[in-house]
Amino acid sequence: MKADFQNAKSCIIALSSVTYAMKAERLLSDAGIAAFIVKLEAGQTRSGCAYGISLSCGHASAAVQHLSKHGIPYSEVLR
Amino acid sequence: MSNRTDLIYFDNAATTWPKPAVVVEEMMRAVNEYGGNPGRSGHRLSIRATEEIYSCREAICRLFGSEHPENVVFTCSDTMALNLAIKALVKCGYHILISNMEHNSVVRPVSALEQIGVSYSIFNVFPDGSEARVLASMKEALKPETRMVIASHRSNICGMTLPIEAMGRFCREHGLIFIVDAAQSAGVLPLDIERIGADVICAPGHKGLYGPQGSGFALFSAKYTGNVSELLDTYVEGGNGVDSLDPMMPRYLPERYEAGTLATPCIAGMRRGIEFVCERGLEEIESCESALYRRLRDLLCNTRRIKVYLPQAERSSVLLFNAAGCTAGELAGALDRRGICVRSGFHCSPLAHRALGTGTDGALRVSFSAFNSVQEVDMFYRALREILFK
Repeated sequence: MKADFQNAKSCIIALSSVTYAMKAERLLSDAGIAAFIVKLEAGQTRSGCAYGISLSCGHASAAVQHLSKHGIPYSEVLR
Repeated sequence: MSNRTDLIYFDNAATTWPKPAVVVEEMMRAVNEYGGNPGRSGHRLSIRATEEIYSCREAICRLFGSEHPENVVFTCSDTMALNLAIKALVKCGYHILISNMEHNSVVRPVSALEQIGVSYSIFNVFPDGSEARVLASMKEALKPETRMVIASHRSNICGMTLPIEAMGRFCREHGLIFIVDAAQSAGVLPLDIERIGADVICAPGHKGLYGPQGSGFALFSAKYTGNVSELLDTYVEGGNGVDSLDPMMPRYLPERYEAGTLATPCIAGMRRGIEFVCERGLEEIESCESALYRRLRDLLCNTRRIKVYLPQAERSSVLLFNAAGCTAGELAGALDRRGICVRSGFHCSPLAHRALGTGTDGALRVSFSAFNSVQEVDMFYRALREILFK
């Protein structure tokens, strides 16, 4: 899955905190979705410094569903 | 582990020493191998430090029955955690109940809050360990404006363990916020935040969790997951790497309360200390410490001139006593000259000393850790007899 991910177009799910980003990364890993934490560039979010998790766009909607199920607040999906 | 063959360290209720070697090694690794600022940058050292911080949140959750690592707020001590919990949750006009075993880390914050219209009353716990009498005392102290109960799980000066589960039920029945100070029980007694119905558990990292000084935390229960800005006031504000364009603190735990750079080496050491405790097992640690306590208690109870406080306790990691004709301070000094470290005085717990009737000089406290032995107890007793009777 990691090789697929590296070759696929990547999306970023922006999260409200670095702690939620860590939690999201581990939850997705447990669910078999490869993702890793990234610091978002200035201007990528409205509120300034933020973290997100980067993953294959093909997994983005499943990831968002999974995170919502576990009560992880995310602000947006950056494509 | 440090070389401690020339010392007997019986002041573990103040801070455990020595620390497990793995704790020291992990702290060194944090400084030397992942010294980036957690939650600030996107480079590997910062992310590695962030992962370590999160691993410690997970370790705390496993030990205290939480499924919400984000509800762990790191502090530099238990006192800071208690201040955070109390001041985040209190509102003007609240009446608070505290037990007569409370440390100044509870007494002083609630006393300071009297200036902003908060009041407090003290309920009693009893030497016979009676759950019913504790609940009756709590009920008697209740007022219509009572909103919060703060209680130690275990006394820092004697073998008093509070009936924390029953107290939690009492709080739920009366709609009260329940803050538990686990300063002396974390790492020794099992404590499940959701089962006891506590709102917050506060604990130091450097006592029974065998982490370094400078570590501690407040664990909030599941009901504080999500947007807590309506529930919890901030009391320290500053940067934490997220939402930096917003002049207000984030609305979510833990960042709402984690302003400024976290102490990664301390938190990493605490995480490894928690793993040490879990590997050894709480039951095993408690059982060993209680065996040392009972051995010393039995020796002291059969020694003239010595008064042991609360000798009826069978399970404890601390023992408090006085010797007639010698102040606790003089005795502690004499023991120190023989390479034995203990603590005299009031142990920051004047309420508890008053309840036990120790008198104007306080008393001498002996407190054990997982690293103490029967041989050390026997050496201590021989040294004490030499001081008192030769």
